[in-house]
Amino acid sequence: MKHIQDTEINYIELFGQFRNPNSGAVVLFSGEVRASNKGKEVTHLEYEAYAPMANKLIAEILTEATKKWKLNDALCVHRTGRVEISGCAVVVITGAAHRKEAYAANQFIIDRVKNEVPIWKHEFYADGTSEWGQNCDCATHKQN
Amino acid sequence: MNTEIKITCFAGLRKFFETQFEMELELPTSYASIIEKLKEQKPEAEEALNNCRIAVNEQFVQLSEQIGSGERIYLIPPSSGG
Repeated sequence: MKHIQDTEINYIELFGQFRNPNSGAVVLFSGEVRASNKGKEVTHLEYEAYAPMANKLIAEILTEATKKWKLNDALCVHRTGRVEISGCAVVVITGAAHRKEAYAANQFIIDRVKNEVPIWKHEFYADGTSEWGQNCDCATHKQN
Repeated sequence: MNTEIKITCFAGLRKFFETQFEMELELPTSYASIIEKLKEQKPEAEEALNNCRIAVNEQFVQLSEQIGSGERIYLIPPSSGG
């Protein structure tokens, strides 16, 4: 799927696709795996996704951001499966005429992806335990 | 009318439920009744279920909406990507 992949994200190659004579600014955000979280040593992460829905929602978020900030190009790819320490879990690249739009759109996209898209992080610790992560205030997810 | 729905679970919900299972429900009823029935089956999963959303056909539905016959239900815990 275009926005979900179970192999390493080559963001340098992806960044190369953003050369555009109309873009004065290209912003790349890479979400990477930290070696510690909440005081615990992390060995690696595993990501799970409801891939068809995640792919669709990311496409919608990119379309919304492109319209709102008049982007020339926008991309987001999220990993599934095992990601090692310092590995790239998600990349967002935005290209616009000016940096203000490229930065703002990039932050908008990653915030929406983290909070709304059905992707889940499973953290594995050096002490042999593991935990499913939570990014956001669960109250925002409650339905009536 | 009774219907059998297929339910798929993700992430932390699999501590309590199989990845895929079936549930028999009497229609008409709302999506909220799925959550309530699962809480009765596994009281220890109450908090996790309270934080879940339900998706059908790759779209989130409101818990107050009515379930369609034979629908495939996806239980979606809070996102934690990135």
